[in-house]
Amino acid sequence: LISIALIVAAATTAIAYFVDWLPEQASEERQGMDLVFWVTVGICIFVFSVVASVSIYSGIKFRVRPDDDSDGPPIHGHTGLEILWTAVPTALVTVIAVLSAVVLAQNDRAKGTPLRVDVRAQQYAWQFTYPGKQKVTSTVLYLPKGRSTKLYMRSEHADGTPDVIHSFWVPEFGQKQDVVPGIVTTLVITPTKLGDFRVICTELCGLGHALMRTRAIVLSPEGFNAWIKKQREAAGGPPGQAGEAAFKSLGCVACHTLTAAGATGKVGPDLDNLDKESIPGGQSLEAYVRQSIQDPSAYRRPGYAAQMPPFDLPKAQLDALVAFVVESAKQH
Amino acid sequence: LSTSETTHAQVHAEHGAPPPPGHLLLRGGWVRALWMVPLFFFIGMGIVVGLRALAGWDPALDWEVVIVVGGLTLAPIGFLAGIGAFDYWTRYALGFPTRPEDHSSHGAYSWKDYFRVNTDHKVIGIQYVSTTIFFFLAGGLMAMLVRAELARPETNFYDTQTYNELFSVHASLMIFLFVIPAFAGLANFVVPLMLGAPDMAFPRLNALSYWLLPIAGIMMLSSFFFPGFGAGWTNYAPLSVDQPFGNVFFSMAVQWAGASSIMTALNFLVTIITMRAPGMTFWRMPLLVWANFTTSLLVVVATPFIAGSQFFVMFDKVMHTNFFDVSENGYVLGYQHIFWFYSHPAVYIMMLPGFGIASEVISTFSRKPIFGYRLMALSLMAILVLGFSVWAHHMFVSGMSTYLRVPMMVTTLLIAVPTGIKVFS
Repeated sequence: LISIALIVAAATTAIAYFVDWLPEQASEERQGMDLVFWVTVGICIFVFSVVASVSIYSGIKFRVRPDDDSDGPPIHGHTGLEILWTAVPTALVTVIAVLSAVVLAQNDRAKGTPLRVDVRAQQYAWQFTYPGKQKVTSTVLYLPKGRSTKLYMRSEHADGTPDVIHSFWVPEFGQKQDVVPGIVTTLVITPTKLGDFRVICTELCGLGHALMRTRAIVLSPEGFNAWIKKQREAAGGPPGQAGEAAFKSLGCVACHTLTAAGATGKVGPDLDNLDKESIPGGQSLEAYVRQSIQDPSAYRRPGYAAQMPPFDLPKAQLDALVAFVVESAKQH
Repeated sequence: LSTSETTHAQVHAEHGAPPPPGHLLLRGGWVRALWMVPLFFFIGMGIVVGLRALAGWDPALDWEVVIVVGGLTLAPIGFLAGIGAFDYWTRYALGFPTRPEDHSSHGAYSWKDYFRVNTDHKVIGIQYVSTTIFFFLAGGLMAMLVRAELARPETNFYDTQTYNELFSVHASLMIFLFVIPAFAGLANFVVPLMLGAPDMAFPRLNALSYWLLPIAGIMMLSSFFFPGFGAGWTNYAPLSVDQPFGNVFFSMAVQWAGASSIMTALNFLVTIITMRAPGMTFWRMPLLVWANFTTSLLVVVATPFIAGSQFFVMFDKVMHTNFFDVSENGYVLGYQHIFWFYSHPAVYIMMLPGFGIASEVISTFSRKPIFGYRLMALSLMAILVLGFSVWAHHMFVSGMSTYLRVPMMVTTLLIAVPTGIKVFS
């Protein structure tokens, strides 16, 4: 009986291990987490299979025969057995605890000097700022491969007032961390693969929670340096170029249509026809665009939901972006 | 045989349904509840409007406060008074002769008795279980509506707020109006029988604790009409504070359901400790009774914490306090610590009675005694104690102090040991 149970258990554990359940592994932290995960799940499946196969076997083999009304043998109490099945789980649990504590401590530690990225979460958008002499702001998270990045996350609006709780999660990187108003939470990521991954909010944060997604793009160290250099140059370069770069890097392209930037989004208003549409309150087109970027809720075009977050941009970048949108709209 | 039949019939004839005292409008029951509910609502409204007018606040008639005080606090008390849950105590307190209940094991004479205040533990058990089945169906229907919306991408049937309310109310009904009270109902029915006790220790308190339950359920369901309660059953602040007004319906419903749980749990504890039949020592009690004993201890200690957390949220919302407003030095994680200090033990509140049932059923149908009886009971106690030390494992990624994570992980893993003992025994 015991040998049958052990064979079944070994088989189920092996099957479970070889099926590809988990998302792609793309960070060093995930490697440690996967180790803990598989040790724990392996133990669980093994123990469960032993218990289940013994129970099923006994249920079939020792089931009551017709007309048998007698009681079963009154077997109970065996100190040795009871000590055994208290000691074995305790030992297994100790192994899991030690392993987890080691991995946890490892994952909190950044390797070398980490790249710092300031993250701002608000209903319902992410914004990533790379500090430096010239700040670079992006709604897509760019990371260099092989280097630790430390995220400093805040839940707040552009004006610093607190937002609700959000949670940062990239399945391929493994970790998850809440972004809590009033606290700066941190997370260390060391990507091991190039690629384009999903960033998902995993704490119910209101009506747009399901849409609070963006991307994390892992570039080679050279690629990353080139990207950040380009962003800095664009931000300081001629207005048209800087504006287009901002339009693309801030994620406007995902929702708006603007031919000049090659954008075809349908979620928000079509910006090609901006100058032909009525502008509220007799504003100039330029003032209207500026207001709509900084405070989209000031005037919402009928038929569109309140999905766009307010953007708090450095003045140079904002000027360039406004100029670019206004110029591009006038070409149509 | 014929003699015994006649005696039985005679007993019925002698007792009969108790003669209804007083006029229909004044006698405890649904008719009196019908006029006492509006009466108490207007008393609450009067208090609010009166105080606001005296203080010179504008407007004197603030409907949100009126609903919280009149609708969610006083009207339920009016309902309980109307249906007759306080009758005995009121008569006693006012010095009138009391009307003792019939305790001759004839809890219900007809189906109508299940819709009256009744102090028989078996009647209350059935009332509990049927009410929970009703809310189980309501909650299940909401789950179907959620799945229907998810069947295709994009929004199909409801807007996002309604969707969030559906899954929030679904979860709250299933937890507070189904799992927890369903086990309380079963225990009401069987625990006195298993102990050899004639009834629960406090039968009138038992009846009162049942009648709090439909109040809580209806309150949760009616949150839809005041949109809405859409922050998930965990109701995390500050999102819950930002929710529309209907959120206070959840906050108050939890108070009523929680009060019901605490009353039942106290009742079980006193019954189990003091009303065991001669010879029924603690180490001879069936494991189901042990399970209810530990569950009741959990309820009594933990439930006030969720009541507190929901009061904080409601005060932030209605009274504009700043428990969770960071810009006024509020502390957001405080909510989660208090909430999970209840809601983790609540997992065991929902599970231990199930362990008890499994122990009884398996042992009975395999026609054998429990293998390690003492260790089973001790494991229940171990789960009870450890259950209070693991709440923060719901908060590993919440941004709480990092040093809390490892101890919480260790206690969480340790709780697997008594649970394992229960499986093996």
